Amino acid sequence: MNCDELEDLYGLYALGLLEAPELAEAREHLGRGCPRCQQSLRQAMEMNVMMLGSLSPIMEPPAALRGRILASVGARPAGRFGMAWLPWAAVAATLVMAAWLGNDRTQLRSAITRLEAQASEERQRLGFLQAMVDLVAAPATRQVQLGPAAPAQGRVYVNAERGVLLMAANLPELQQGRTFEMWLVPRQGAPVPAGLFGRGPGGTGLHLRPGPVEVALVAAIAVSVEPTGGSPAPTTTPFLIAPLGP
Amino acid sequence: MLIPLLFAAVAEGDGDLIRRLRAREPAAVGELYDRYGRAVYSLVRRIVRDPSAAEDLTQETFLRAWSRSHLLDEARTSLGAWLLTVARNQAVDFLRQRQRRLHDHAAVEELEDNALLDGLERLLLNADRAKRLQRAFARLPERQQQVIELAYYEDLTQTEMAARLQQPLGTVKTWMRSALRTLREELVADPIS
Repeated sequence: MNCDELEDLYGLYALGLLEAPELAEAREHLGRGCPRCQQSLRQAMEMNVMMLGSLSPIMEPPAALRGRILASVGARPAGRFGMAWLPWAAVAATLVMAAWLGNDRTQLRSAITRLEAQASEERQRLGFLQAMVDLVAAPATRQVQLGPAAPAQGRVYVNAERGVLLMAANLPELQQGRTFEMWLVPRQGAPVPAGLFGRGPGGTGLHLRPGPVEVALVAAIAVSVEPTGGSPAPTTTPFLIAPLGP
Repeated sequence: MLIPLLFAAVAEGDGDLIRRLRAREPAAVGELYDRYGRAVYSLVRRIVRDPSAAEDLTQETFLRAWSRSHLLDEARTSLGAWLLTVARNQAVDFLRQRQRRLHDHAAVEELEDNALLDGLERLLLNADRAKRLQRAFARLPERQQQVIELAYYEDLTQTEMAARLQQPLGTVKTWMRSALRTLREELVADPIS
């Protein structure tokens, strides 16, 4: 086939749908650096991108999807986890007062801005919760007890695709300038930092380390007390350990 | 209903977003989603038709931008084009696994990272050309529209289209060739300088 005959087929090639014998012909032309075919392929890819972006009917994604995506890259919701109470009543009162006084575009705009910011925070928290639920509920997730540091107790949920979730209770008080740090302890080599978390109300602890985990290479999940900001290696002996077994 | 071209006003900030993705700023993923999330979700949903799968695949697409940011050229990569290509690949892979069909996907995976995707920002900035493409598609004969949609949204080869439509392979190839030529000529009629 010549370049003219192939020109109309590069759209299919760019989609991965060109079949033999045309596929072999296209590859042969491109493989020897045919400039005409390179240009045709580029035009075809341009067209494909425009087609993909232009012909799909608009569909709104679910509101919680943004939060899920952010949670999966480790974005933490603002404020303490534990679902800080939204002062809807206070903001609503501001809106009502502004309307009653009849003056207040400025106040209304401020109130709307605050509401939008709070709604965004809540979406992030919701996404964080969703990521945790997805991990715990996934069929391939393993659950391992944390120990031995009574009264502190807890468990970890480990999923090779989704990450590691730690849930603990009765954690010790933290001195100022200290934090809890989670570690992935490999079967060989030094522990790998897996994120920081604080002590919640009543001594609870909740931490999600998102993303793939090479479970076969991890001997245990551990927790130690470290300086605020974390450490590249444990500076204290981990007090909670969840061995993953062979 | 056709999706309006979403990228014309935002492609300008793609370089900064790529830098921030490489610097591992999670907030950059949020901005990326705010710009392109609806377009990506719409495309994926159109292909897989399963709302739950569309959510998962949209998430995977943006995670891929996060994990592969080191492959993006902040001066030349159009994030919108890159995301749509990744999204389509993810969606058709999902369909393929569900339907247990195998295609030669090597060409597509190669193109996903190919430098040929770079520099499409100029194209995506041209909303007028996109509208002309939409109108050109709408003017295609029904059969040509049909084979285009089967290719873009269901990842069918021409052989599979012929079986689905119960038409000779040669006929399907003629329809496809004519459609692609018409659409391509619409694009090159006003080449970007």
